[in-house]
Amino acid sequence: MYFWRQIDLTSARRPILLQNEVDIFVQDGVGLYDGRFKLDGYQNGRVYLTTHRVCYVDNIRSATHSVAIALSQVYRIQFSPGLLRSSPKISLYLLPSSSPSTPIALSSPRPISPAIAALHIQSLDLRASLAAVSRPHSPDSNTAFNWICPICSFSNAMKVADSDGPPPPCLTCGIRPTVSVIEQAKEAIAGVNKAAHLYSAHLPIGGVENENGFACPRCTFVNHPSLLQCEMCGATLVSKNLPPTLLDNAVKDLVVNERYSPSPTPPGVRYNDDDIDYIKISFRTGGERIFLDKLKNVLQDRIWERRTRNIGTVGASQDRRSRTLTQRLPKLGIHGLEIQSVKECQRNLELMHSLNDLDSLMQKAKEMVSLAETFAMRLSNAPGVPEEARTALLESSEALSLSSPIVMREMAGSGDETFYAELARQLAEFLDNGVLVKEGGIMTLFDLYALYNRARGLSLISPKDFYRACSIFEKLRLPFRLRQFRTGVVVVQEAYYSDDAVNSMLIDWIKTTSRERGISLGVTAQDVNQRFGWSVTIALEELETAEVSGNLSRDSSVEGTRFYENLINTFRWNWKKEVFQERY
Amino acid sequence: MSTLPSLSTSSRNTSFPFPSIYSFPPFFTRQPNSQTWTSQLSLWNSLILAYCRYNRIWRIDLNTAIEWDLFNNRDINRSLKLETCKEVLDSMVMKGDAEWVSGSGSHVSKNTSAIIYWRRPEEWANIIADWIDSTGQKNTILTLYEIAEGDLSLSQDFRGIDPTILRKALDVLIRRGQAQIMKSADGEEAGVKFFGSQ
Repeated sequence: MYFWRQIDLTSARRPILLQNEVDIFVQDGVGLYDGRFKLDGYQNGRVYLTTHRVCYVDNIRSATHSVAIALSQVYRIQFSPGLLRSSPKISLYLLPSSSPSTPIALSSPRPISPAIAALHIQSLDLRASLAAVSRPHSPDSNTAFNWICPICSFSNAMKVADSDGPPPPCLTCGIRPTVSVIEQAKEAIAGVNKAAHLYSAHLPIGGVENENGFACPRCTFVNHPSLLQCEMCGATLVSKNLPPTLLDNAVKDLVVNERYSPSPTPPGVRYNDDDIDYIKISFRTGGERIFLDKLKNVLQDRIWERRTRNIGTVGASQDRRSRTLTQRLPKLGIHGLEIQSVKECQRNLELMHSLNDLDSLMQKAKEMVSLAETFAMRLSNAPGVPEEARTALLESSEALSLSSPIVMREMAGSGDETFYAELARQLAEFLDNGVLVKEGGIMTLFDLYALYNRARGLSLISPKDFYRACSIFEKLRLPFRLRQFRTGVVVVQEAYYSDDAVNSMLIDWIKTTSRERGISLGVTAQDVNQRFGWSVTIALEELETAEVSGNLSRDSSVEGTRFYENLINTFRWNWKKEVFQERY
Repeated sequence: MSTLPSLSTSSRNTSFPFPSIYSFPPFFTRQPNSQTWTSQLSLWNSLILAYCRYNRIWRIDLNTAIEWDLFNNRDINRSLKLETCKEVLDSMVMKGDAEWVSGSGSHVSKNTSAIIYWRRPEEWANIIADWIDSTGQKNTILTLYEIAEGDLSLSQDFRGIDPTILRKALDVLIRRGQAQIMKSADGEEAGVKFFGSQ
């Protein structure tokens, strides 16, 4: 557990995101490994890939067993597909988080994407070969080279430092090669270094041409000797004089070298598998391919490095209050005017950028929300604005914002279950954000659907998905549940209120009010709506439920339906005795 | 039928002591809850019997009775609907507290008029037998009119009794062997002769 850090969760048991952090993907049914060993208690959970972290949330002990690692620590990933009974796994090779110098060295202006590198040359020790290319004149003892077994023609890797002793046996057939084989290979690597040096100094490779020019290694088109790049396919041209066995490797290295300028490896740091601590994520219910793809993209984008980008123009929602305070302060003098005009410009720019297309609007959603909020704030402070307009604007800006990025089907891993579970969790967070409190603790499913979809704004969800997500609230142990009234109206309510408790609360209220007002005044659904904040539909349903249980009686007239405490059930009248004084 | 209008008009002036449930608005709405509805039915049943007995009403014709204060509480502006009224009477018929009078013509739609048994025929039979006993009219022959409207029955409970109810009460007495219907020469029922209870 050296690399994992404990994280905080929302009420719906999703990780609390950092500033500017965005959910990208979630996959259920994963287990964690530290190195080669299973982590006890971390074998059944969900893994969240965000722009900043990989988070693990345990399905059972979520409070104590939820951890994360920062993506900035990851320098290499490796994918091992499932074999027989072993699940597919993704290994994340991590730098120790305590030494800040190493991650900085990695994040050079054009950083190597470890993901891409690992993809291209999975088994090759990337750094070693890159070092061999970038430092050609001082082949240090770490430089590796390959020698070809003369028996089985397997290409064995070897370090220069080890080559002076007796040659090791071939890894495949176990036959020791003669010393001359090793020597030849060593000479060959010197040739590669020379060629690479020539390339890196941008000298024409034309020095090694013959009269036909030479063939492109990719498309075999015979180019003019003075060309650096293939005329047909644009591939980098390599001298033909290289030993054919090393040609391939050299090309690979050069391609890597060309695309990502490597940072100098700190000397003395050895990247052997044995030295590296790594963690593994085991995907027991699939989803590893998508996770891998998304992880590669995230590692390439390196969003965690851009976290300061937006500071200054708009802050996060947390400092909303402080911003309103500063806005109220009068800006005096020319400086104030200048600041205002600069801000105006920024806003205009933001608006223009955002409306370019919908994608960028999505990206700018946060800024737009805060802009809408400032408009609302300005309106509410300005005199002469109609009250409805103010409240409408305030409400709309409230409804615009979901606390976390919207859950989309693409985000969830294999199987619809994960998607519905995530949707349910986000709904729970949404409800928890005061939506349900405003509705008096109960709201109809269609009201919630409309509100939630309005909050999503884009990529709306279908009623079917919505219903399925809501119906697993209880299974996920979220603090909400569905309830169906007898008439078929389905509502969402807080799980810790039982139906009976809600109903007896209503009945008690009616009894006390009828005592206060006298018996002749019943309550209508509107009265209940005002008292408890429930929508009229729900109020009516609750009243009818109480009626079915025999606690209320109704009075239907042209004025509408009113509900009364049920006196009919309890009223006893012995008419023979009371009217005719008979002894019965 | 001929006695009904005069009785009902006179009765509306006397004030029947309505129970407090009569001022409870839901009492005039048919309750959807079956349990509450059962209680409601039995309350209405009692109320109708008491009201009819208090005002000496033998028959209820729904077309006119729906206007009575029995079914209309003007203080709270509530009234029982006709169909609910019918349901109440239906349940009374089921319990034996009332009986539909099938008028002429098609019998289905004619269920608007009902005899209310605020005393059952058996009770009436006992009361009439006691009256015969106490007035010493055994072994005399009385016409049906004499029983209902005669001078001797002025202060009796069955004063002005509906002929149908009277006939049913007499049937009970005949079955007990305490009375016998006397027929005139042309076969019409002319009178009734009472015997001692032995």
